Amino acid sequence: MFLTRSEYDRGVNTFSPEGRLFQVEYAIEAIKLGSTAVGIRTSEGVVLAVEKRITSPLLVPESVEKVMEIDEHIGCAMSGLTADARTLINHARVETQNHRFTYNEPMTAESCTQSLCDLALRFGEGDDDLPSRPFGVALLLAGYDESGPTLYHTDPSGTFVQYDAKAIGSGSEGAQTSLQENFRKDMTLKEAETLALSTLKAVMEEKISATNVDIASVAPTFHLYSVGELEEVIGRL
Amino acid sequence: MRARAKRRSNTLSTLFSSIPRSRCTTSGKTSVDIRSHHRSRRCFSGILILTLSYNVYWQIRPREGSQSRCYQKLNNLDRKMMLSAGPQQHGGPTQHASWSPYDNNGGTCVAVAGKDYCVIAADTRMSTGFNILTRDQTKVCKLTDKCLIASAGFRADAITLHKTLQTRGIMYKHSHNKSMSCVAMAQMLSNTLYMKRFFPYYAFNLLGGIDNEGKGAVYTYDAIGSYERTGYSCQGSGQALIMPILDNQLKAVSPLLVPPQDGATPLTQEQAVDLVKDCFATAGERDIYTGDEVEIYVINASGVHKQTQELKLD
Amino acid sequence: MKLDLSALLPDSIRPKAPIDAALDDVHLPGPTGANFPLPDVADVDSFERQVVEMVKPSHGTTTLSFIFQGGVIVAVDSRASMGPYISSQTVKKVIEINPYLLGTMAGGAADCQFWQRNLGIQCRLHELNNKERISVAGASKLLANTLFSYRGMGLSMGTMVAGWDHKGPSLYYVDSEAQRIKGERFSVGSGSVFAMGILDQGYRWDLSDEEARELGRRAIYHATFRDAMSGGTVSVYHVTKDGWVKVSGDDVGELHYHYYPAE
Repeated sequence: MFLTRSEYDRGVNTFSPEGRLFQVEYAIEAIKLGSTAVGIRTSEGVVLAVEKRITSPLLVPESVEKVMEIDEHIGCAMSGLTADARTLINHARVETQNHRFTYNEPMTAESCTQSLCDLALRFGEGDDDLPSRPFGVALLLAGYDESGPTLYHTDPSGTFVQYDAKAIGSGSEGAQTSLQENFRKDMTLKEAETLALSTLKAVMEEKISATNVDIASVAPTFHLYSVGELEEVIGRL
Repeated sequence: MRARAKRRSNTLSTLFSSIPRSRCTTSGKTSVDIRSHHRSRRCFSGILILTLSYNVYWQIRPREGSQSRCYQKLNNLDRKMMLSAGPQQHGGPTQHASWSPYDNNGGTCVAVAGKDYCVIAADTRMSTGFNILTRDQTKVCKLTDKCLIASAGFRADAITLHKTLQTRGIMYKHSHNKSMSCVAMAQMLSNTLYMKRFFPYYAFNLLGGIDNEGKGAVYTYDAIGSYERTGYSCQGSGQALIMPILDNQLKAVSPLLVPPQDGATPLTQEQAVDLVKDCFATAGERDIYTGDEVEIYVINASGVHKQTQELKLD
Repeated sequence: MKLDLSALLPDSIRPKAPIDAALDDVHLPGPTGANFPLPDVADVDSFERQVVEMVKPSHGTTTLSFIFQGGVIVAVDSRASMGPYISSQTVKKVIEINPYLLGTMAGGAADCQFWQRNLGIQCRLHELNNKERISVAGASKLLANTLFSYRGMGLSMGTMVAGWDHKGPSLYYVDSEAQRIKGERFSVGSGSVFAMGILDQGYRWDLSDEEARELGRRAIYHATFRDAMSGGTVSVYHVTKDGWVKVSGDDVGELHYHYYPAE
């Protein structure tokens, strides 16, 4: 009766008889191979922490970039295909700057996330200007706007949801459980830094150090932690 | 008289909006296309245009002075319709070199900002040349709950502009889940005007409202989008008459001074409304394009309130 | 004849195709000013001239800028006139592109405001993508490239881009003919001849900070004194390695009694 999965999982715009888009689902699977990233929202601001997989001692750790600035007040952590994330982030940067240009005000984090998700769904066959497959990347967007600190999670299906604390990537299951147990609404930014890093530490294979993690905060502006600041947070664990 | 006036204004606005607005995506390249395109077509229809305009000229000759100029303009528009119906037209009508897409319908707008209110007002007379087309044409348009625009100049352009801004305001509300602030509207109006840099809206705008901090705000524009936030401003045919009065009564310190000095308009809301009424009554005495009635809108924390004041009808 | 160089522009600033002609009026203006509609008239050039005649965009200025041992001084007046009518005495003619870059405004007010804001976002995107601030040379080149693509269309701008980058203080003149000149002393606008006279007479490389600021102020003041299209407030900015500061803003009326004290 139903054809097997393999016959419906090639076209990106063909539903299976069960009503599924397999390519999108596979793209979501791709994220589970990615490095772990954690985001925590507090009343003071949002913390993003990512694991950097330093696969070789010859690799230059600074060249691995998994937390990026979108605008002064929006930061982004990624997991999955980082090359896809760069396309998305470049898009978000242009969108936020366009918004400033048109309205003389910063774009809200929600609108920025929405514009990313609009792009995430614009794949298909035919049009040369658009990608032919879904973006294989999940993003955590940390923002600080008129509604206060916000944390959004986006996935390849173009869905976005707001979280208090969220983990993505290969260690996300364990990390999410640990976040659920340890997150409190009244956390300070400092406590959130520690929680984010201890959560990462628990799911990372390598020993945590200043070279294989990155932390950024948006409180209220984006700030990527220096090695010194990182070591200070690691020292608190 | 009134019916005829209405009809004419309709003709003006419909014709103007029927002009193809964007034939091009990149300005530089297409300007060449359009020009060469026209050159070839002009030769083709040149003789016809000459004959027609000659006929039109003789038909209207009995009229004198600027009235005849006004009829000439109307006839130019009719001629355009005739030509566009002709078989030689393809891809939009060609305009005769003397054809103008603009008219000046006169009128005056004034806005005054206070500590927690903004007054924005405009008269309701609409004229062309020495003719009064109507005594009841509003120049003010509500864009959001906290932001109003008043435009003098060419009515058809102002209507198009107001509609565009309203639409964009609604689209903004849908995509960002909030109403557009006065500051955002001010910047967007500037960009909207500048987008028509090479075919400007012939409209002189004032934007009034309450900013994010609850203070009154007045933004004043030139036709192509240069703008500035001020404490008070005036645009339109009565500008040169009213602006000196406002300078005299309200002269605000320059925001450019270092160290900065407080420059809020010292008037209360009632005083400001009275001042605006006086300004219009005064301008009505000496400006033929200002009169009939003035609509005064006050925007404050409790919303937008409208009142009107009669002006002289002559 | 104009070349379409849009293919050379980075993706982010390339003009976008209109979504739908019917939606054209609703289409939000992008930072590039992608879709400038042209009038459907036989002679665009004379149409543009007539439009300038009718619309009378805000005009008139004196601006100056110079480099000395202590950085860059930028000084401007604040008057805008539409024909003989003074449309504003409080125009902000120094556009703060970012904390290390300033642009000045002479010519069409709308042209300068729009394209320097556009330059501002191009510089910001450069900063996000390259993790360092754009050089003054780079910023002025971006502006010159933009203006080149509108050459002959009737834009009117004479602007100075001043700032501090990894090479130290730097100053460029860029105008709507897409001319771009590096230099250490410029004055632009209707009152520039008067300002330049004072500036040349008083300029030395080793001016102290206070002397340099006073020279800028004095030059603009004297331009407002002789040029009817200049006036209002004299603003002076100083760019150092820590970025720009606005050092003074004085009403011309007050300055007059400072330079010509009553007996």
